[in-house]
Amino acid sequence: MRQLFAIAQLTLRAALRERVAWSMLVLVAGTLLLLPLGLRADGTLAGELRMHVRYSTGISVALLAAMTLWVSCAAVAGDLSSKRLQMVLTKPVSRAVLWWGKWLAVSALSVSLLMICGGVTYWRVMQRARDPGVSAEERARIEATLLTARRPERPKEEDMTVRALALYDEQIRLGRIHPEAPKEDVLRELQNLALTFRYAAQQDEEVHWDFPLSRPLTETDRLQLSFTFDGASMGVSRIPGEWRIRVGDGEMAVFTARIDQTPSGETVLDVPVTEALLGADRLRVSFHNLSEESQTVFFRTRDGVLLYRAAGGFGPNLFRALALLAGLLALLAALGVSAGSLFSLPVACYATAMILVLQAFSGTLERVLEEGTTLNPNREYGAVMQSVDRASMVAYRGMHALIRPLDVDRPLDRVSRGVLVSAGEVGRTAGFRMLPGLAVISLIGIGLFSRRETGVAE
Amino acid sequence: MTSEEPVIHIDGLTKIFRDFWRRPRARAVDGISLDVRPGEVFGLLGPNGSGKSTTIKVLLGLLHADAGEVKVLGRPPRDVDVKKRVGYLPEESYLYPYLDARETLRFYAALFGLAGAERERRIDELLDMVGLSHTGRRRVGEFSKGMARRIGLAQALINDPDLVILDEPTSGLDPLGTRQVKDIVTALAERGKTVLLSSHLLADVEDVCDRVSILYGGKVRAAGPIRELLQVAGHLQIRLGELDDSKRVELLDALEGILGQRPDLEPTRRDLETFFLEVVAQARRESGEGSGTRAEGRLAAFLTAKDEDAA
Repeated sequence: MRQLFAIAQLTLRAALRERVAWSMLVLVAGTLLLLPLGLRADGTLAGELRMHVRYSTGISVALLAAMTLWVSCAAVAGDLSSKRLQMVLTKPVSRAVLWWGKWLAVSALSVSLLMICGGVTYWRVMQRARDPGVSAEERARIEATLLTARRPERPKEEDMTVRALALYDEQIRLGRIHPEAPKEDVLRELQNLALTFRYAAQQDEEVHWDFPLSRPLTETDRLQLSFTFDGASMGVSRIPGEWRIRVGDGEMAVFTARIDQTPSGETVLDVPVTEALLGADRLRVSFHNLSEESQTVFFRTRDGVLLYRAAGGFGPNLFRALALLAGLLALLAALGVSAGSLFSLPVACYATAMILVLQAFSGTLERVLEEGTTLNPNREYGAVMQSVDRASMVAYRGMHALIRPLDVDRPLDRVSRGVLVSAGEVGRTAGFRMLPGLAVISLIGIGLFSRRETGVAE
Repeated sequence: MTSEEPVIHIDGLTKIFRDFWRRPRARAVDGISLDVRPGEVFGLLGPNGSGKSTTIKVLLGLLHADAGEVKVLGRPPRDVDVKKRVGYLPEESYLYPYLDARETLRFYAALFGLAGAERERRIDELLDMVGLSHTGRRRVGEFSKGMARRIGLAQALINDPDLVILDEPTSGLDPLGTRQVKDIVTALAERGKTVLLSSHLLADVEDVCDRVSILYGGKVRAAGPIRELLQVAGHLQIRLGELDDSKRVELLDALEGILGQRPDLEPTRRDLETFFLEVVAQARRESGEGSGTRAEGRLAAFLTAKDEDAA
């Protein structure tokens, strides 16, 4: 342990000597303290604070991630090129101890800075939210959407397979689809189409969602209804409608709320947990389109309508999000140390930066994997293109596997919307993805580093 | 390892450097064999590119042998337990420039698991030994090359090693420092330590080494005890004390009678190093210490302690 801490301490001192590290830190400080002054949100304080959490802190974390990669790559590759590591490796230090010592130092530095960023964000949000000049209405809105961590309850997923098949048969019969068109692709498109119409309400029509709740409602629960919708026609200024909530299959609405608003962003309605709702474990939420014109309303097919239950405060929620990001930085440090153990500093930096870029495009990767094709080749493309498509899918799957441990599902974005980052999620992500990821990266890194000759003339 | 076993055993060592595509680029060491016995000061000589540093790096586990057997203290060189008993001074002192002299030694001591009062005592003694006790808080990045070599030497001895590998130990040192290093090497050998020394400065090697191997082109070209290697067959030297002129003439006449030719007679000369050291010692007595290093070349106390004390 003495060796481990000696190496960690030395690495920490070296990191604090890196000009790049200090430049990044100046940028982080600037982002946290100055960027909020230039942010223009929706004009509300709640919006401004959301932007601060999401963008200022988010950019700071991105900068910290870049700094982590640089410092971790330099910790080994820099020492190797300056030959200082040769001296260390002639001492009774195993390469594993050296690897872990370097990793420990970079992780400790990055996580400490992340926590400082988080502290600054917390302080700023709380200071602004509790400003005596803030109106009671605004304060209530901030309290409901940012300072409360809310657990989302999602509606039952609708299976559109049967509907899509029926649509397919109908379109084939009408001659609107070429009989040789790949059926799987057409069915996938038709499923999406059917889902879009499933969650659409034409004039004077009703659309509903069934919510099986994770646990029955109690009197201590605070419930919110959140929705995001669009009008079918351009230039629609306001859409009137009525929300209703029923318990199970009951006829009687236990909650009713009229709206008349422009379709923009997420809207949140407070749902008082009245006696009628107590003990309910299944709710049906419906929207009645009361538009006087022939105006269709489309809800997002995924998370277009959600029920939220209050599940804690902003501070612990932010802390849990930071814990996820700390895990991410620790993994990046492991990647950097491993890359630095194998490659020269520029190569190591580029290689790890590419992984960071890939991570930024994780959504695109997932979409391609969902679709199962990159080129979308049809029969006219021929066997060559289809082979290229198959090969590229293998590459996409490899890239996805590579960044899978780094995928932490936008925790700051959720905190900014007051959506719960649960302790369970942190535990699961750490236990099932990050720790195995760290173990694999360290094993590969240490294994290859142990085989590497460190005395070769540069 | 028994006391008869060599401290370093190399048999048929070959090291080939390869390019990115694993194609052979240079055969740095080509079938070298040598043994270094316990308590011996062994010199590795050769011009640049002869394979000295490569051999040393294989001995330290920094490079892998392509062929041949290498054992250090009876075990493979990469064995961590072997490294506990080895001290190494590289050709350049690759030190962390932002650490001061004391922190540098503390770091390397920690790598050997040394801590507390024992560590601090060794650091004090080593700094004193290499004449840097007054610069303990100065960053080594600000050190001259000679001072950096001294810290390098101190770190090589922090673990009281059984085997000390010194690569160009006197490079960058002034004559005082050079003398001091040679004294330290001699003192270590007297204490039963084994020293492997690589140097371009042949006079240094000649002064302290018991045996040498001369490498060229990755192969051993000559090896053996220095006295035997430097002996010129058929030539003898007579050393005499002070002689007055009449005795000198008498001696020359007698030798001419025996040899049939009149031999040359030259006065004994000191070597330049000895003369320089005398001048500096005199100057020091007259005007006190100058700036830079201060040392008498005394071995650190922990290095001269009996084995059971050191353990």
